[in-house]
Amino acid sequence: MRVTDLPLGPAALERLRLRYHRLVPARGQGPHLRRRMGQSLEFRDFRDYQMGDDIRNVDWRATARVPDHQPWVLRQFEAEERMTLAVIVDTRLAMRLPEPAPKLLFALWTLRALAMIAASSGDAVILGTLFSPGDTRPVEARGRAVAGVAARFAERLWASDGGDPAAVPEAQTSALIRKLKPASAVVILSDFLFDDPEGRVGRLAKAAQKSWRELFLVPLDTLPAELAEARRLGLIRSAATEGRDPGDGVYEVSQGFEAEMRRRVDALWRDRFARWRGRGLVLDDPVLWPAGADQAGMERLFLDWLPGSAVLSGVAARGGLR
Amino acid sequence: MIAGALVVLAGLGVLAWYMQRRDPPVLRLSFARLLPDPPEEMQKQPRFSLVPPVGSLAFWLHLLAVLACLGALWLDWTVLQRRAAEAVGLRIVLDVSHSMSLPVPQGGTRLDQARAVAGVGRDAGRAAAGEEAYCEELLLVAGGVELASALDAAVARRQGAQTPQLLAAAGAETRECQVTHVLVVSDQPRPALPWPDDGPELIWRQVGAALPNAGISWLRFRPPSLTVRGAQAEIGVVTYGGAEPRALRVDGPGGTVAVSLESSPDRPGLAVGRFVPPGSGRYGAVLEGGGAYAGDDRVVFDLAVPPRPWLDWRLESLPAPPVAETGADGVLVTPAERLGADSRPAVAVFPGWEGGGTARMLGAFVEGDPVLSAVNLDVLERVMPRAFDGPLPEGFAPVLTDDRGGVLIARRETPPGYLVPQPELRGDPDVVALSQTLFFTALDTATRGAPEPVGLRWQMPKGQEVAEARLESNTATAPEDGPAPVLIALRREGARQAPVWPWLALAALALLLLERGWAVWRAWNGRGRHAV
Repeated sequence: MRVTDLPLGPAALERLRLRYHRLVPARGQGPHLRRRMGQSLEFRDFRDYQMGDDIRNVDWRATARVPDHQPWVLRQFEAEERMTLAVIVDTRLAMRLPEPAPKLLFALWTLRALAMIAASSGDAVILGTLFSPGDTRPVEARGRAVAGVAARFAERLWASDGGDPAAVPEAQTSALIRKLKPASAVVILSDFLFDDPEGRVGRLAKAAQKSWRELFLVPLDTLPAELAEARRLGLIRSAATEGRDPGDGVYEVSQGFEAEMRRRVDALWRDRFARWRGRGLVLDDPVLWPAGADQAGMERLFLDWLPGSAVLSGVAARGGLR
Repeated sequence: MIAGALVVLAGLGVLAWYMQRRDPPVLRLSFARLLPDPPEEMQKQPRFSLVPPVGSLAFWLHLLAVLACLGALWLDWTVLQRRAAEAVGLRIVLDVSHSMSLPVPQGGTRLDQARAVAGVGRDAGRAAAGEEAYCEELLLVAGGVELASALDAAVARRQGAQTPQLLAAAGAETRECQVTHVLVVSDQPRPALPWPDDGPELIWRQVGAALPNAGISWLRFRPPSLTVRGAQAEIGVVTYGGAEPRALRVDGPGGTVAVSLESSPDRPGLAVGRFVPPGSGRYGAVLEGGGAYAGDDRVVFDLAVPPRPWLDWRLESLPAPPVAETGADGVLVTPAERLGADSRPAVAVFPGWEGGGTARMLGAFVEGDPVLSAVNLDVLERVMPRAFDGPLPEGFAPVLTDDRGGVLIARRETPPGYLVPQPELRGDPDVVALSQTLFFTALDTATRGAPEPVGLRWQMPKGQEVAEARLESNTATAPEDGPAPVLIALRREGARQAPVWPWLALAALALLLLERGWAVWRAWNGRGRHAV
C-alpha cells in the first residue's frame, strides 16, 4: 500500500458522489452545467454583459435594440463543454508539518479523492502544484486514466524532497493559468501561510474565477496542533523557515504567544482571501488539526471532513454549487 | 576505596547531567514566517544551573539506581526469611551396613545402639517441637537408600557401604517432610565432606566400640609374559587397630597353599600376599586371625590363567630368545615388508640403522609409551635411525617421528603391535644398546596380555555372601565411650538470614529498566527531547 493511498475505498467515494449528485441543485458556473454529449450551443437565456464575460457571446442585434446600447446583452447557453477540475496542491516544505500528521499527505488524499470523483462524473482533471522546485508542469487526464495519473502524481510529490526549508519558495502559476479552461472548477489545497510578494498566487486565484470558473480554497489549519506541541515543551526555538531565521532566539509558549500567533494567522488569511475574492470564490471552512494528531488521527479527520466539505459537494454536485 | 571513588564520580556525573540547562528544542513550525522577533532576555542562558532537577522522573530513577548500587556494595543487611515449614523436621539416616551387626561391649549390636540413639533423637525432636508441628523421616542406608517407617524394621544388611553415601542420603531432596535437622547414626566417623551452611542442621553420631580387624581388600593378577615365567597374583590385606592376621590360605585347583603376608613398605596397615596360581579355576582365600569382623576374611574368585606367550619368529638376522617358545600361532616377529594383513599381535622391524638416519633431531612423540620410556632420547637423537620408508601398515600410528615427519616408531592398539628399527648386534655400542632396548621392550609390551579385572566375592564363614565387605573392614575407629547425646533445639528452622544486597542489585536493574522503558514510551509518543 502506498502512503498516499486513500483511507477510504472507491465504493465509499462513489457513494459520496452519487449522494451529492442527487441532492445538490444544479446551479452556479463552472461545474457540471450539462452532462449530455452533443448538445453544445443550446440557447438558454439573455443577461447583461459583465466584466470577464466572453465578448464573443454578446448578442449584438439584441444589444442594438437596447436604448443607448447599454448594457450589452449576453447570450447564455447550456454548457458548451464538460467540466474540467483543476486540483492544485501547495508543496512547500511547511506542508510536511506537523511531522506526525503532515498537511501535504492530507492534501494528496484530497487530490486523489476529488480526481476520482471527477473522473467518475466524466470530467477532465488537471493536477498541478504551487511552489514545486522541480517539474511544475500540470498533468492532465480524463476518463479511466485519471485514477492512475492521480496516484502517480501524488506519489511523486510525496517522494520529492521539497527543496531548502530556509529558502523563500516561489510560486509557479503561469503554466497553471494557461491550462485553465472555461467552465472549470479550481481547487487549491494549502495552509495559505506562504508569502506571495509578486502576487502570483493572487493572479492564479483571480484567473480561476473568470470564464465561468469557480475557485475552491481549502485552508489546512495545523496551528492548534503545532501550538499544542510547542506548549508542551514550554520553551522552543524555531528553525529557519521560508526566509525567516530567528537564530538562537527562544520563545516562551504562553497563552499570550498562542493568541498572538492565532491572530496573525487569521489576519493573514482574512486579508489574503479578501483580496482574492471574486464572484467564483468558494471558501471552505478551515480543516482544523487536533492537538497530538498522528497519521491515524489525520485519517479520522479526513474521513470526517470530506463528506461535508464544500469542495466535495461542489465537485460532485450535478449542477455545481452556490 | 577505588570502587567507592568510582561510585562517587558516577553519582556526580549523574547530578551534573541532570543539572545541565539544555537548549530548548528546535521546532519546525508552519507559521514560522509569522513569528515575532524573539525577546532579547531569552537569548542567552548559562549552560549549567544549580536548580535541582526535581521535575525529572529520569533523574530520580537514576538516583535511586545509584543508591541501590551503593547499598548493594556497602550495606551488610540481612532479612529473616521464613519458610513455610514445620518447627522441627527430623530426618534419621541409619547406617545398616554389615559392620553394624558387630557386637558392642554393653551388649547387643552396633545397630541396636544406633536404634537407641535414633530413638533419643526422635524424642529430642518431638520435645523441641513442643506444640509446634513435627515430622520425621527414617532412611536406611546400605549401598542403597531405603525409606522405612519404623526403627524396628532396621536390620543389618549383608552389604558394605561408604560414609559419603550416608551424607548423600542426609542431604537428599526433601520428600514429604520439610527437614530442619538430620541425624546420622553410623559406626563410621563423619567424612570430611562439606555440608551446606544453609542446609538443615547435621547431627552425626558414631556408635560401637573400637575393634581391631583385618580383611582382604583386593586382588591383582598378572598373566605370564616373556619376562615373567608364570602368572602371579597379589592379595591385599588391610589391618586396622593393630590387628595381626595369623595366616592367609589360598585354596585352588592345585590344592591349598599358605601365603605369607609382607607388610607394604610405603603404606602402613597394608600387607600383601603373593602366590603363583597353578592354573585356571575357582580359588578361595581365607584370612586367619582376621579380627572382629568376619565378613571380610574370606573371598572367592575365579582366575583364567593364559598360557605363556610364544613367538612366530621370522627374523633371519636375529635368533629368537632362548627363553621364548616358538610356534606358528604365536606373536608374529617379522620384517615390516612381510607383515601383510596379519591379525595377530606383532612386532615388525625395518632397517633403521642401515646407513644411518638423515634427520638431525627428534620430532613429535607420544608421551608415556612404554617403548619410549625405556630409552634415553638424548642418545637416540645423537644416533638417529632412518625413518620408516613407505606408508605405515594398516592400524599403526606414529609414536615417535623425526623433525621431518618420518616415522621412527609406530604402534598398533588392537591387536597389539609395534613397528621399530631392526635390532643391531654389532657396531656402535650405543646403537646396539638402543636398538635392542627398543626391540625387546616392544616385544615384551606386545606379548604382555592386558590385565584382566578379577572380581572378589566376600563370604561369611557359613558361605553367605557379603557385597563389598571390604568397605566394612575399618571397625577400629568407633568412640570408646559410646555416642554423644543428641540435642535438638528449636531454632525457628522455618527462617534463615538472607542477605539484602541481591535485592538491592535487582532493584537497581529494575529502576534502570523502568527509566529506559519510560524513555522509549516518550520517544514513541513523540515527547522525548533526547535520543533513547
